[in-house]
Amino acid sequence: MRLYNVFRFIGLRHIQARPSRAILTTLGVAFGISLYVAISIINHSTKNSLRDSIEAVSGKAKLSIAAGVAGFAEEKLEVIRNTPGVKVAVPMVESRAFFEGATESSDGLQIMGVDLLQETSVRTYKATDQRIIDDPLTFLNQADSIILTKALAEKRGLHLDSKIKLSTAVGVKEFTIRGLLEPEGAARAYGGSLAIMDIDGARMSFGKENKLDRVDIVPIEGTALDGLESRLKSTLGDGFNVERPETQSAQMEKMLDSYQMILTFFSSLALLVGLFLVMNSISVAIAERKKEIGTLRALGATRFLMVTLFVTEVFGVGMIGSILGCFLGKGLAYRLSSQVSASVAAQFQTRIEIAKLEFTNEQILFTIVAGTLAAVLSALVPALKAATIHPLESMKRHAESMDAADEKRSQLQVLAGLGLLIFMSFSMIYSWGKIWIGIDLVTKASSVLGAALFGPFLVFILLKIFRKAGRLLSFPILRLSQENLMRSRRRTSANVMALMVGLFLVMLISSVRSSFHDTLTHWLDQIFVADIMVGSNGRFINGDVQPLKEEIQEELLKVPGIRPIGENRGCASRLVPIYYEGKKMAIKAIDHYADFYQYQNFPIQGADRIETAKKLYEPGEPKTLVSRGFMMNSGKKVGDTVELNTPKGKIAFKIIGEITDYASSQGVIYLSRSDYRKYWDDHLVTVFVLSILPGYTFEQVRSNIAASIGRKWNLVTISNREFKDQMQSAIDRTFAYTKAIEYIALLVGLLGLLNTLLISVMERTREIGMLRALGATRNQVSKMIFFEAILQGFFGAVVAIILGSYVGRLFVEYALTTSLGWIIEYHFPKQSVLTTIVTGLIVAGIAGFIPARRAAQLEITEALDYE
Amino acid sequence: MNKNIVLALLTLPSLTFAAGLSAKDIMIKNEEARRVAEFESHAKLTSGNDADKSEKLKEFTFWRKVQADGIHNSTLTRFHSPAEVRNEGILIIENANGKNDVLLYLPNFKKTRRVESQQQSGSFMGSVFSYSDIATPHVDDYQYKTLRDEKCPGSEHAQFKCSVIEAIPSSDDIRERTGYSKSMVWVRQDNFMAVKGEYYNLEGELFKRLEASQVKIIDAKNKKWLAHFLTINNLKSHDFTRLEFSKVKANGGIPSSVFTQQNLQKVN
Repeated sequence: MRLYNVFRFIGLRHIQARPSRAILTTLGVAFGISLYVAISIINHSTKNSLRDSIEAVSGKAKLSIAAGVAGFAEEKLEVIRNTPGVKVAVPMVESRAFFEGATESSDGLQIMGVDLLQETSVRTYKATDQRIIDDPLTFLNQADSIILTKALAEKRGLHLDSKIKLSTAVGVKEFTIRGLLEPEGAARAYGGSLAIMDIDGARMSFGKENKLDRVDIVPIEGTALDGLESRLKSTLGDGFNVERPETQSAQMEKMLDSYQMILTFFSSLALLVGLFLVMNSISVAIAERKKEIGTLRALGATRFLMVTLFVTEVFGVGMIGSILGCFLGKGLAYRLSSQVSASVAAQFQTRIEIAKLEFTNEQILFTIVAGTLAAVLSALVPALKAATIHPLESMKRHAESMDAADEKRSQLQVLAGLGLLIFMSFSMIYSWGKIWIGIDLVTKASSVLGAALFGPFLVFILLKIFRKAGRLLSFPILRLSQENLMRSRRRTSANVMALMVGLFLVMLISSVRSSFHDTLTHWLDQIFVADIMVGSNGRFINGDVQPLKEEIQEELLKVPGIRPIGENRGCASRLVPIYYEGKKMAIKAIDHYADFYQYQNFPIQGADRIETAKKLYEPGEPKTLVSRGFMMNSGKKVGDTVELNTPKGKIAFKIIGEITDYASSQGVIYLSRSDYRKYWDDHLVTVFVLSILPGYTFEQVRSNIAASIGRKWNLVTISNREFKDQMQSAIDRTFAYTKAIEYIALLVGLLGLLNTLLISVMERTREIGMLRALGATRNQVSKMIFFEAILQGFFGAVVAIILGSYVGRLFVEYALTTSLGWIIEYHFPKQSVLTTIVTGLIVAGIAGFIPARRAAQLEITEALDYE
Repeated sequence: MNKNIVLALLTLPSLTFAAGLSAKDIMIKNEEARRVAEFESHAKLTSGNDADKSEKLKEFTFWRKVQADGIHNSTLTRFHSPAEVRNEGILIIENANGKNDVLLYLPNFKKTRRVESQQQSGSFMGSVFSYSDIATPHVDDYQYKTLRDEKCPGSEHAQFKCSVIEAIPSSDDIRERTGYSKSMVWVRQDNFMAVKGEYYNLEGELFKRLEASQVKIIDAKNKKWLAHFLTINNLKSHDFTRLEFSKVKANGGIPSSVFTQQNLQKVN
């Protein structure tokens, strides 16, 4: 018997006879693939953009020297230039700047303050009018000169000689666009969201007088890089990072890896739901065609031929679904990329602008092949099962009941699910994923597979309980539906599995989101005791604001309505990133606030808050408070000293206490601002924290600030409430992309349930005919099928809540710490319980409606005749 | 050689016959002819593009003086217009090691900036001239070859015969500083003044052409000449620059203190 004939006369006819099933399965695969594709495109493009940015900024430089956000003294440039082996050393100052009135990070741009008289030795620029860049006389002498990328100018409707207003450390300043750059060379960096200024102009505007942020080195030809690197390190001392561009890139990529792995995990879940759908669809199709399989086998069809027949049917579905998924995925990537960028920025305090979403032909081909293969593999298990059916066995009419083999298989399935869940629990608790990345991947996959295999068992338990309780109800149709579900365990399992995995994913994501939200909100309530925060444009919540000059404090304290802070006290704080042992952490340098705050801004753990916080400001050896994340990453504890790289060399800070802070997942280091200024020589301020005098309202004080010094310094004043709202929206933004994952998972779940329910109605055509012959009305049959769907939706949702929140808890308490470093308290997503149940009921209701109608429309004679 | 060309165009030697001289001898005569002990001049620099017909004019005063070694020059330019460049100054101190010091004074920042040698092949004041073109070339920086003798180009010089000389930088440093791999210069055989130059970039492509006119004697006693009008074209971008000297005063007694960083930073 040739495969071609079998496929043509049997396989293809089944597809033609049941086009809706093929369409639903194809769509399931397509949606599942689409999310996976979208996340792959974004992950790949993010890394490419990051690499491109680093390469573009580094240009011909083989080494770069930096000393953190605060920069280092300009005099070091001569020291660097005089180091043997250095051919060219080109300085740069960098800053974030924001268009006037910006409240979002996306309204910012990266300022590269460069020495145009030396710049082309390292970086290349192609201007729309090259003479502008080549004419330093005009460009350099005007402090308002700025060059934008053509892309940014077009985006904002700007052109040569246009004026733009940017917030700077000294208030809003007007700049004149004296050049536009083509997207080549350095202009490729930061996705084109950058501006070039002369180094002196940039220093003046961004509070970097006599400082440098970075020096790029081109060595003399033939100089050994290792040797030059060591010479520079020893000449400059500990506070300086001398790095090759590829090291910077590798460091950043490593930082992104864990984050992207979680994104991939979530997107893989949606794909997995799609594959479940394929598996279910084939399983049910096999049950439906059991007799046909028996006949074919009796006629001489081999087991291999039977497997190949089903696999061939799925091959087409998988391929079409994968092709469709590629297109959908690309569209989805466009929709999600900005959300993922925002999430990355919130996570790592590093904004990576995705310059271009890349989906190469090779990737498309790979996706189609992998998607098709995955679909085929998911069909392989039921297909192999079909091949083992004995011809005699298949002729029997007991498709509805479970035979001993089915029972055994079902038990194995439950045990396997339980085993996977147990493995996943231990692996997460004991961080087995740290041993080898493969274990981490298996752990994450086990959470879904375990839930999918074990979930239906829990549904049956709940159904049993419900059956007992349901006896009290005199609602025969509901009871009949319930009995049907209990009787056909295979079918019910397939239905529940399809929906439950989707809902499980929703619950898992909700658990993570709600834990972040509740933990951060609670923390913020604890520490943010001031009435007002004053800063400049940007986003206060992650410190991505234009820093201000500290002199503003004096003027602020004179504004009517501002409560005096007392002698030797300050109201400024500075939030900057710092690399410690290769990990990106945050420094929070805080002024000794006024007494009336009672050090409430120090969430100190395990010690007296006031006494411990006071010590930070006592004279003597430098001291610090560090977060648990820092302790975990560094292995340090209270009482130890931590050596931090500063522009003045390595300085040892004594750890005097542990604080709770979420400014960085890797660790937060609290310093007194006087120590910070002393060692980093950075006098800029991220925000001023102020209190209002009794008798004044926030609005009055805000108006007073605006009327007095607000315009001069471009101050933005926000209230305690507004700050917390910003936090709320930041969390929403961070998790915005997960909504898409939830929707896709639910959509695939809906398709899965619809598919299996439709099949189950067909499977039960004869049974429905019997019911109708025994006097059941069309309405009663329709209700029975609909209730079956609703019951499955409801109990599927309940089990998804139980398993999703359990896995979510492990995920929050262990996996997030291991993968990303976040130490977050688990908070049960109360608000999601109702949503999940309602969603489950709606999805089941929608999925049940069509099969219920179809069942009701069956003619009794035809149904009884159905084989 | 680029420098040779520009400098050659600035001054002209006395009438001397070139017949029988080697290429290097001709260029030595050229250097002697254009080496004015000191001179001061008003200058206009007009830059534009043939395609878009745009033109930008800058005006400045130009001082040049031969240093104590009798070979190398110091040059100061002080800009007067347009307003955005007023009082900016550029000081070029030639060094024996071939690495020139180029300092740019920015009055709005009250700051002097150094133009690194790698940058000196870049544009001077947004013109087709480079900093290296404005500095003075020296005979020993190049190796020469006489290609041919022919009628001098340009109507002003048509009655004279020219030696066409190829100049190749003698070191990589000079190649890098000038940005030229080769140049050709048309030197009048009567007075050894260069009247035309062609420059090849590091890829070996012809990309600049210079023409000199209004060649006038500025130091009759020492028989020194200056081309008062220079036009240089970038053959790739179609940019052009015209440099016009007027009110030229030679040997008026310019003190050496004019060519110092302190003086560069002095603004009237």
